[in-house]
Amino acid sequence: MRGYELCLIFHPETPDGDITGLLNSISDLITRQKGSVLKHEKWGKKSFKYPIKKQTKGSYCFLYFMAEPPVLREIDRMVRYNETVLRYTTTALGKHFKPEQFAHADHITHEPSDDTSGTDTHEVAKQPAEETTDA
Amino acid sequence: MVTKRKNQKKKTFYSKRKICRFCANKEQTISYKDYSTLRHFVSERGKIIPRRISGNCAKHQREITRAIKRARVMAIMPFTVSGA
Ligand SMILES: [Zn+2]
Repeated sequence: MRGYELCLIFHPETPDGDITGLLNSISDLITRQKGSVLKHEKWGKKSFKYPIKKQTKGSYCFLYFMAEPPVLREIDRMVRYNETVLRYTTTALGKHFKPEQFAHADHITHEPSDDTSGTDTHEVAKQPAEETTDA
Repeated sequence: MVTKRKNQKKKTFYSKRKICRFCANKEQTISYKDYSTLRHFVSERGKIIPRRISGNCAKHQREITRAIKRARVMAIMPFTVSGA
């Protein structure tokens, strides 16, 4: 069992119901294959740094889960031909990752959506992230 | 280029030893989702700043590079910034 992070970018005009629908069916798939979903994260609409499929913004969703590697192929099959998904990636959370990291976290976190501009917004929820501004 | 090099040879350089901010602050994690951190490690043009300038250690520079490249794929970071 390994930890993964799935990032989905939805078309900006996708209704909320469709987004949660797809997220739920992915979660179902994971749990059916004896995995577990650790956390959802929704950023809402965020503008892209470059256009994807002629769109300038999209809704970002993240799904953290534990699963056996073959499950990824099934997720891929589910998402690939879904036209509301502009782009998606799964990243392995690495061997140092422990599911307990998310144990305290709320199941669904809502990131502040920045509908207006794409510069300098969200902090990732996990850390209060001390920021030193000199680059 | 070659002639320029010759002139520079005589200059004495000194460099302040920069410390890697991720080694200094263990709390700070590197993630491709974290635009506000990653943006410090690219130039105005969107190019990744080399280690000798950013001061990152090899390990963390590698992580930063990986994170920036992932962020680019998801349009969180730009590949290029034209006209900057
Ligand atoms: Zn370091």
